[in-house]
Amino acid sequence: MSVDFPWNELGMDGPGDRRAIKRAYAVRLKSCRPEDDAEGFARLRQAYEIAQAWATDQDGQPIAPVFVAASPEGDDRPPAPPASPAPSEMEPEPWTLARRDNDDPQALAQALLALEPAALARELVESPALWKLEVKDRLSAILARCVIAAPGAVSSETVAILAASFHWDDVAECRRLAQLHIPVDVLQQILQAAQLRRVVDEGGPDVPPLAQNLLRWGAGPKAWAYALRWKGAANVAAYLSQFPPPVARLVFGDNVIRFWNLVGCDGGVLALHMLRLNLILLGLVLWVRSPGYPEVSMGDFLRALGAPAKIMNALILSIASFKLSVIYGFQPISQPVPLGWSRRWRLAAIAVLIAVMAVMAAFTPLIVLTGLSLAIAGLVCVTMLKFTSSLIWGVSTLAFIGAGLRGLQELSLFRPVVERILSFDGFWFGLMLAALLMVVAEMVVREADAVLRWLPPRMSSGIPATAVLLVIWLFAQWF
Amino acid sequence: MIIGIDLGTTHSLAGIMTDQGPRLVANALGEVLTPSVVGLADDGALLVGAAAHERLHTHPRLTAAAFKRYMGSDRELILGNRRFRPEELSALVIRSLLDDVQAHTGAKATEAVISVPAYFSDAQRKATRNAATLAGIRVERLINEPTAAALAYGLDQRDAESRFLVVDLGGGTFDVSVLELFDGVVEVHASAGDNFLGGEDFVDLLAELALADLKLDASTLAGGDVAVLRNRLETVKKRLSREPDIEVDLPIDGASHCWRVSQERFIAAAAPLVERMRAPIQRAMRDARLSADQIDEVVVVGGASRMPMVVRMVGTLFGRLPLRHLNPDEAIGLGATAMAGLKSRHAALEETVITDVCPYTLGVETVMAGSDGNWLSGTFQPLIERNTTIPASREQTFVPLQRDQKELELRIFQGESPRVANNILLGALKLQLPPFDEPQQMPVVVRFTYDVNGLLEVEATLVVSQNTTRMVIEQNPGLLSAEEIERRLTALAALKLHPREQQANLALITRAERLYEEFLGEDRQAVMTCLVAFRSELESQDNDRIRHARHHFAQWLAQFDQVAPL
Ligand SMILES: Nc1ncnc2c1ncn2[C@@H]1O[C@H](COP(=O)(O)OP(=O)(O)O)[C@@H](O)[C@H]1O
Ligand SMILES: [Mg+2]
Repeated sequence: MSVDFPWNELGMDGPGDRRAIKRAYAVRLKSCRPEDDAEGFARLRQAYEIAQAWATDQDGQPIAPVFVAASPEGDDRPPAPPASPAPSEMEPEPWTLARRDNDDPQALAQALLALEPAALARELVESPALWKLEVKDRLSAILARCVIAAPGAVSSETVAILAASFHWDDVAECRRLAQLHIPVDVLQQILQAAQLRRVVDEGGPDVPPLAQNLLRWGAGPKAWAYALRWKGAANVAAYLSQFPPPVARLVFGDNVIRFWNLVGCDGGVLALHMLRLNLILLGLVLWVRSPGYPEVSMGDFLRALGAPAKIMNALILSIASFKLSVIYGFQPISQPVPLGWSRRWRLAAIAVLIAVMAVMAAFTPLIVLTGLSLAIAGLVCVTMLKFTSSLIWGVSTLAFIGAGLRGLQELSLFRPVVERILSFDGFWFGLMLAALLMVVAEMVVREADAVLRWLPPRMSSGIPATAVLLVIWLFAQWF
Repeated sequence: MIIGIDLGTTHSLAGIMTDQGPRLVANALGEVLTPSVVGLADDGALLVGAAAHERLHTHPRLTAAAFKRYMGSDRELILGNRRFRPEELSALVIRSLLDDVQAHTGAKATEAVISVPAYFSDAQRKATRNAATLAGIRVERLINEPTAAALAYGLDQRDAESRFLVVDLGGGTFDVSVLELFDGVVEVHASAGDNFLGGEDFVDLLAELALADLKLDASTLAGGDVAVLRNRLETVKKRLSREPDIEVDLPIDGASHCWRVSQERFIAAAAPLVERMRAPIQRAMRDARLSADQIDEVVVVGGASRMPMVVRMVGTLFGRLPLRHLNPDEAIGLGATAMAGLKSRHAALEETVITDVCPYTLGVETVMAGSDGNWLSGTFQPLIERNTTIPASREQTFVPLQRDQKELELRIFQGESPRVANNILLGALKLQLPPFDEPQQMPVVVRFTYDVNGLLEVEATLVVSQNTTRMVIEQNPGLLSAEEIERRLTALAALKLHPREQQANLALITRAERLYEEFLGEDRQAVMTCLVAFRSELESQDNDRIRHARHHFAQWLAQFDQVAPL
C-alpha cells in the first residue's frame, strides 16, 4: 500500500489544508464506496488519515486533544499521597469541587484523594469541573500515578470508584495511559487487589468465580484467591509475623510480595508455608528412609511434626502457596506454549512410577503404603495443580528414590548393594544438600529473567534438578 | 415505491417521501407509532400493535413484545401453541406497517430502508433483512439509527462541515454516535452505548419507589398485579415529564392504594440511571478525539428522552441546548424515510456516502513484559480498535515466547478490557512452528480484516515460510437458511392479520377488557355493561352506527384515564 505520498491517492497535487483534504476525500469516496470497493476504500482511507495527521502537524491544531492535554511526565508528577485530613480548628465547610473550577488538576487530584469514598463518588458525578473531557483525561493520568506511587495510601473502595469513573479497565484508556509512561500493568494489579480485598471484606459467596477469573491473570492474586477459598485470610495472617521478610523476598520475589502487601498481608507467610511443605515432604523422605521406620506409626509421625490439625492446615496452605510460587515462577511459559506434550509425558512418568510401586507392593505391604501414598501425592500435585516446579518434582523424586531403595533392600538380590549405599553417612548429607541446592537454583532461575527464557518448558525443568541431585548423591557415594 | 421503516424495540413507524419532505404514515388507529407487539386473539387471528399491547398484560402467554432484543439469535418465542422466530414477529410488524402504507397511498410498497441500532452485529443485520423478506419486501439498505436521526434533522443539508452527537434513549437501549457531515459524506466517528439502559428502567425505578412506600414486597406480588402496576407507572412516568406532582391509584392484592410521587423525587431517584448515560457519551467523544466545544450540534432522540432530566444532563455536558424540535420517537423513522427519498432520487444517491465504524475492539491474547520485567499472560492486544472506520484491515507482528516452542496458539477476542479473561473469545488459530534458535527469528504476521457487514477474517503468516493460515469468524448462530426463509414465508402468509378496518374496534375492546380486569366493584360493572353494548353495536354491521358507537365508547373509557392514569 503506497502511503509515501498520500495526496496522490486523494487526487491532490500536494499537501493542502484540512478542508482541502476533506473535499478531495469526499470526491474520491464517491468512486470507491466502502460497501462496493473495500480495498480501494481502505487505501483511500489510509491516505486520508495520513494526510489529515500531516495537516494537523502543520497547523499545530490538534485533532486529538486528549493526547496533548495530558503533558508527558514533568508536571504530572504524583503529588504526595494525601495524609488523613488535618484536624482543623474551624468546622470545615461542605466542600464541593465546583468552586474550584479554575484550579490546576494537581490540586484537584489531591482534593479528590482526600475525600471519603462516598463523597468522592458524589463529587465525580456532580462536580461540573469534572465533566469536561479534557480535565478528566488529565486527572485520570495524575490519579493513576498517585495510586501507583502509593497503593497502600488509597483505600480499595476509592480505587474502585476512581477506576470506574476514569475507565481504567478499558483498553483504549490503558493505551493512552501507557503512552504517558504510566505502568498500566501495575495499575491493573492494584485494581485487582482492590477488587479482591473488597470481596474478602464482604465475604461474598462469589469468591470462586472471581478466583477463577483472577487465575487467568497476573501473578499474585490468583493464588491468593485460591488460598482464600480454602482458608480465611485471618488464618494466613496468623502465621505471618514469625517469618523474616528478607527470606520471603528471596523465595518469592518482589512481585508477589508487592501483591501480598497490597492485599494487606506480609509476603513472609508464603515463605513460611512453602518451607512447611518442604519440611513435610522432607519428613516423609526421612520417615521412609529411617532405619526403624516400620515401628513408627503415622500418628507418631504427625505428633513429631506437631498437632495433626495444624499439620493439615499447614499442608493445605502450603499447597496453595506452592501453587503461587509455581505459577509465579513459571508463569511466562503458561502462554502461549501449548501444554500438551509435557503434560502427557509427566502423566506417563507417574503411571510408570505407580506401576513400579505396585510391583514392589507385591513384596512388602509397608511399601504399598509409602509408595502409593507418595505416588498419589505426586499425581495430585501434577494433575490438580496442572504443573509442577522443579522443587516439588525433585523432592518427590527423592521420595520415590527412597521408597525404591527400600523396596530393593527388601529384595535379597540387591540387598548387599543397597545396604552399602544406605550405611554410608554421606548419603544424608548429600540429600539435604541436594534439597537446599534445588531451592537455591530455583530462586536463581526465578529471579533471572534471561535464564527463565532460556528454560525449556516446565516439565523438563524438573530433570536438571533431579540430575543435580543424583550427581551429588553419586558424589557423596564416591567419598 | 421505497418507504422508510423504524423497527423499534417498543414502537415501529413507517414513512413515505412526499413533496413536502418525509411524512410518517398513521395506522388504523390514527397513530404513527405502532407498538412492536404481536399477539394471538382468542379466535386465533394475529394482532399487531395497540390491541396486542393491551393484551400484553391480560394475556401474557398469547402476546410477545421486545423481540428485537433476540434478533440474530436462534431463540424462539412461544405464542399459544405456535413458536415464532424474532424475525417472523418483526415481519408481522413490518407487514402491518405495509398495510398502513397501502391504505394510505393506495400503492404497494416494494422496497424499504430500515433503521437498525449502530451496535447491531452482522447476524442481527441479516436477521433484520430476513424479517423484511418474510414480510414480502426488499431491503434497499439498512441505515444506522443515529445516522437516520441526523438525516431527519436535515443535518446533511448544511454547507460547511459539521460534527454532531446523536443520543438515542429508547425503550430498552441507549445509543450514542458522533457523526461528521461534509461534502455529501456522512462519517460516523464513534458509537457507544448501553444495551441495558432505557425507558423501561425508569418504570422499574418507579415500581421500586411505590412498593417501598406502600411497604410491599415485589416478590410476593401476583404476576397480574405486577403487570397492572407497571402499566400504570408507565403512564405516571410519561406524565412526570410534564407535571410536577402525580397521584395514582395502584390496585394491588384486591385493594386500591393511593400513591403520590413528585417530579423532584423521581429525578433524585433516577440520578444513577441518568449518570449511566454519561460514560458512553464520554467514551464516544474520547474515541472520536473531539472535545465538547468541537461538536456543532447535539441531537437527542428516542421516546425516553422526553424526560427533561435526560436533556438536562446532555445539555450540561455540552454546555448548550440539544436539538429537539422533532418528535423524539419519530425522528429515526423520519430519517429512514429521508434516506428512502435519497435512494429513490438516483441523482441524490450518488451524492451521499455513509462510512461506518466497528463498534468493538478486536485483538489477540498475548504475553507481555510488565513494567517490572515479569511476564503477564492473558493480555489483550488490540488489532482493530473500536471505532475504526470500516472496512478496515490491520496487521501486527508477534513472536513466540519460548525457544523450543512447536506451536503458536492465537486466541481471538472481542472486548474492551485489557485482560482477555473479561472479553469474548471469538475463535482460535493454531500455527505449527518449525524449529528455530531465537524467538525473534520466528515472526508471525497477524492480519485482521473487518468488512462493512461485520465479518472478521483473521490471517496469520509465518514470515519464514510465507505459510498463511486463514480463518473467517462469523457470529451468526441463529440465521435462517434460504430454504428455511422460503418455508416460513409460506407459513407466515397463511397466518391472517386481523382485518385492518376492525383494528380500531378491537383495540377498544381489548382496552375495555383490560380495564375490566383491573377494576373492582361498580366501575367493573359499568365497563362490562358498556362493553356488551358496544359488542352488540358491532353486530349491526352498519358502518356509520359502529363509528358512532366507537366514538362514544372511546370517550367514555377516557374518563378512566383521569381517575386512574392508563
Ligand atoms: N413523555 C414521555 N416521558 C418519558 N418517557 C417516555 C415518554 N414517551 C415515551 N417514553 C418512553 O420511551 C420509550 C420508547 O422509546 P422509543 O424511542 O420508541 O424506543 P424504541 O426505539 O426502543 O422502540 C418507552 O420506554 C417509553 O416509556
Ligand atoms: Mg429507537
